[in-house]
Amino acid sequence: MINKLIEAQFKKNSKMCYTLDIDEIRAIVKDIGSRVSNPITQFENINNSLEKNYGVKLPYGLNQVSIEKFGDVASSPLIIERAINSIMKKIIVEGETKIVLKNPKALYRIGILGFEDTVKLDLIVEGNVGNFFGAFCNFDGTWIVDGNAENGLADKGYKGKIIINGFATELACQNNQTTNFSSGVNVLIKKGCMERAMGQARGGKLVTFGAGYNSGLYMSGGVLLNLGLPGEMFGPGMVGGIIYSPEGTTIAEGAVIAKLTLEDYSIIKETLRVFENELFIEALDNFSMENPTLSLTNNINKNIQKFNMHDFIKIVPKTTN
Amino acid sequence: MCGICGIILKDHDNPNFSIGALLYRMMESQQVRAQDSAGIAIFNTGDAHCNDLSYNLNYFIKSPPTSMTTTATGGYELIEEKIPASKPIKEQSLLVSKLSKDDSVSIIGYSNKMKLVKNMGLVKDLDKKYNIRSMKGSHGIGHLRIATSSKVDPGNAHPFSTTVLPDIAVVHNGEITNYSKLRNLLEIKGYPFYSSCDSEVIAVFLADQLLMHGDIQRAHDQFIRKADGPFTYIAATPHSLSLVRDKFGTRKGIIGYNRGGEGNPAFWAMATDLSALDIVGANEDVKAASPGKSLIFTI
Repeated sequence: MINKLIEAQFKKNSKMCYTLDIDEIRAIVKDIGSRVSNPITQFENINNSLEKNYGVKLPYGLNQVSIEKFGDVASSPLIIERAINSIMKKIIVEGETKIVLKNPKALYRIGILGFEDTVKLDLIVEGNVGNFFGAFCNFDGTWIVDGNAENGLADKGYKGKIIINGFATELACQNNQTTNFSSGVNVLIKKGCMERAMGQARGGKLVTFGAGYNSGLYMSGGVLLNLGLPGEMFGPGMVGGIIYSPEGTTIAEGAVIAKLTLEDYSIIKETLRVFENELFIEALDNFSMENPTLSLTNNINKNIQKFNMHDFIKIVPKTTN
Repeated sequence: MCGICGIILKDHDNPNFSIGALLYRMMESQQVRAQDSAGIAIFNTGDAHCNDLSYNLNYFIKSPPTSMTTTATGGYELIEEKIPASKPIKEQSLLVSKLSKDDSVSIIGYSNKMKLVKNMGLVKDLDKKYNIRSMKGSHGIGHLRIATSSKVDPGNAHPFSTTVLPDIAVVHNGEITNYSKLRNLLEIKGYPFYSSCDSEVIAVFLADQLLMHGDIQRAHDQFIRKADGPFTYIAATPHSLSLVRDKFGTRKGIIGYNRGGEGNPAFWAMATDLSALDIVGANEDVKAASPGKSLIFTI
């Protein structure tokens, strides 16, 4: 179940909250597929139905790629992926900024919305998402996934806050961007990123309860705070950014271990402040080098966890030390 | 971006459980990753010939085009030619040699306790043709291929097996960048190759190692040491299922456990995508396999 407090807060603040059950779209597509065998007619009928029910049309090229890859149109997940993103985009353009997606069933590429300018959007996804969730994301608001995410979570993201209640398999925040208008996507992963968290990241903040092998790979900016178990071979080829991880974490070539300084406590505090509500952090304002213990929980149903930052190390590029 | 998966039952003496149905669901959930071909290998299926000394020579033969030929199957038929145990080894070798010279034939390998089926197209096409969802056994592996290094045809589909040693099957995601070198070394030893896919070298390499010292752990360790490139593979023999990753862990390999219950057996599942574990309820002890290591389950 999704974190009740966050959900309540989300709904309380929602004057307009659009709920989209992806199974409804699957049912439309399946029904057409069961009645029509010609893929071109399938595509036309699906498009007509999507236009009638949701006011969106799919680009014609999807027709060809679906036939090529999946033999027909009705069984192609690419159709569902594109339909969801088109519907979300339309909803946002129409001024609704809170969306709940039901039954994602690990669909790939949800949330690639293609807005050039930052958009206002809060999103809850009830279930697992697939590869590249929120890739290129550029939004103000909070996106919550009540499930797992796969590769490339928030890949090349610019702005926004994403919370994953489960795992992210690898490359969370890959290529996270800092630009003159953005500081990167901030991400919280409650069960941990299995491998290569913040790979090639240029900005943003990632707080994760576990970070696997080669996290911080080629990292050039941003902050990775690992509150899980010590990781292995962190920071291969890193040229910038900072990783905080429990003692026992090992490093790869190109990275060095350093002790935390006064400035690091400020960085950690600011990193955690982004997720202060989601992690129920107690007395974050009092956190400092003299008072290095953090009390928080990543699950309202679990006990408070305590972290003494004196037990953490900092990993930085060799060149900057 | 291939998709691989494997399942092994905790208690291996459950002959009525359709492991094929689980593999099908895991493959279907990863279908978006790859659509060129699909294949599975299931072990200890309980077929009559499992317990005798005869075995099958599996190969594809290209049938002449008919109105029934579809692009999904590419006009290939999978043949399981039964080889009696009494047939002299020399005759068997001659048969393989003769078939390998036939352009319309693509050899897969020998099997006794393994049922291996593969074809071009989607997993639903494979199921339609071979009813994989009804297949029973103690463990099995599945593969969805998107072609990168060799053409799309049944001979390049996974799982790969060999005529070097019966009942070995491998599914692979990634690239073996020193494939030519490894293949040449094995060919010098006299081992035949039947495809142009880099993944075949894993099966032949493991078979060679098993023939030399019979230790699957050592075989995997040797492969990790000698192979270059990004790879994760799942290898199965009648007595083992292994998940193996390259030393940098550059391709995913995730494992989880389902404790069973309500008449369903407990099992370990491994896959490329987490969603494939989730769909079969293997949500306990979920973790990525360690880079440069092999994770082996034996029965």
